[in-house]
Amino acid sequence: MANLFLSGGVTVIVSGPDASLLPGRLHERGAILVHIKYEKKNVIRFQMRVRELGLLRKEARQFNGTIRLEKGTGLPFLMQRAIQNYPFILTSICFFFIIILLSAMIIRIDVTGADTQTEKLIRTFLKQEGIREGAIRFDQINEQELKQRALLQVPGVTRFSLKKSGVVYKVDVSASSQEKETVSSRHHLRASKAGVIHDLFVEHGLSKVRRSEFVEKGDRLVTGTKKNPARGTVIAETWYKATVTMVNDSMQTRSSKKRITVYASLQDKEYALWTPASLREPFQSEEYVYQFHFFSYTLPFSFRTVTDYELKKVNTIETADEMEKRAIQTARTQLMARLPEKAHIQGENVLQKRVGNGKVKMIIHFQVLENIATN
Amino acid sequence: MKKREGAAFISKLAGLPADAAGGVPRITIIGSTQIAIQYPERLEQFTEQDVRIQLPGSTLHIKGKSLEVKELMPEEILVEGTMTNIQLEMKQGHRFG
Repeated sequence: MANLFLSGGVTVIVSGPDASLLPGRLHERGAILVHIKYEKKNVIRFQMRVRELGLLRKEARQFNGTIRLEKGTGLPFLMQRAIQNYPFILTSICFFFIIILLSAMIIRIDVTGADTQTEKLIRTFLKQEGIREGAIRFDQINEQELKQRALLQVPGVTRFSLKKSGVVYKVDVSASSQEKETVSSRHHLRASKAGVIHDLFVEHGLSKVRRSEFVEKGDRLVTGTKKNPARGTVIAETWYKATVTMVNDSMQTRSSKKRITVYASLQDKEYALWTPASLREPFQSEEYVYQFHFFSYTLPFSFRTVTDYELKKVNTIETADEMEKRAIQTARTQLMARLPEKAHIQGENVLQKRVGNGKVKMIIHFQVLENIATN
Repeated sequence: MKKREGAAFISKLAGLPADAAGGVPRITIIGSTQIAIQYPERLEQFTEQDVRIQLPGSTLHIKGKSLEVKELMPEEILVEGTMTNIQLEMKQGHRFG
């Protein structure tokens, strides 16, 4: 079977009194002709290879009639047409890529089961994690890790689940129900914790305490009426105790060395595209899976990267003094994270310090100025 | 022609079929719609009702309706259409094999 698809064929129309003899003559010269058809009287149509058109030219010199070349068929002509219509092909490729990009974009995040305050917190948390409306993410989100971080970082959240449905992320949370305060308790300002009053600012009400007075938790600070509930701030000095233990040689950091292994998977089979030499030192691995979607349909190919980071032990020799400083600093930052925004640490005292065995154990006492007035 | 006859003679001596060697023409007719001719010499004339193919030492005459040469290759000719009459005209002093 002579197939003209790969080599490219041309349809030739021959008319003239000797038309019926031309195929025979071309055949004698060694040409391959296909689909020879007697159209009407003295008109013949056939297909031949583009490469053998030279033979037709030689024959045409002695031919008495007209020879017309019609359209070309086969791969070379298709390619030519494709190149001529390049904007169309370019646009279809662009369309494909844009749809893949848009399918990876997060269009909407739905948060259910949370009140407005918690929802706001969850949205800021998700933003920190790189999940925001308009972000393009090809990598799969590790739900388990995200859940753990969410439970740790977002206050008041007891259950967190993230579901991806197409371009919409559905976050379902349960927040711990806060106790409803009774109306009567809101008339007066009370102390939220024990402390020594440092400063008073009363907007409404009658102050019951003075400066430098010691108050216990729950003591009434400012009295208000039902009509005009008490308002104001009471800055008091409060105390916190922190215990820190510093170990000298347990720190490990990532050196700048890393090795990335790239896998491409087609349906179930996985092929390694790039495998570097493995690291000799101990290392930490991070794995990311990049998947592509065309609308909600998952494309059968995906990429997976495994990044090994080399770990290095930090062997800085710290003196006990330095370790002490570091311990205080650590305790300070830990405390700052727990305190409300406007509070500030006034002073610190080391109550107990024990050095030995490469460890420093300290108990530190902090004096903090903060607003203790609550309704 | 001499070479072809020699090859045919040897293949006959070896007990092989006559068309196994030497480019002896072979005509295959499938029903009344298709005819394939291997090792033809040339396509002499071709119209819708009448196809004449020259073979070594003879001429094949195909008559029919709406005949069409599907393939015309150096070693094979494939004719399709409704055939009514196939005639082999031997030239004087020649015979196959």
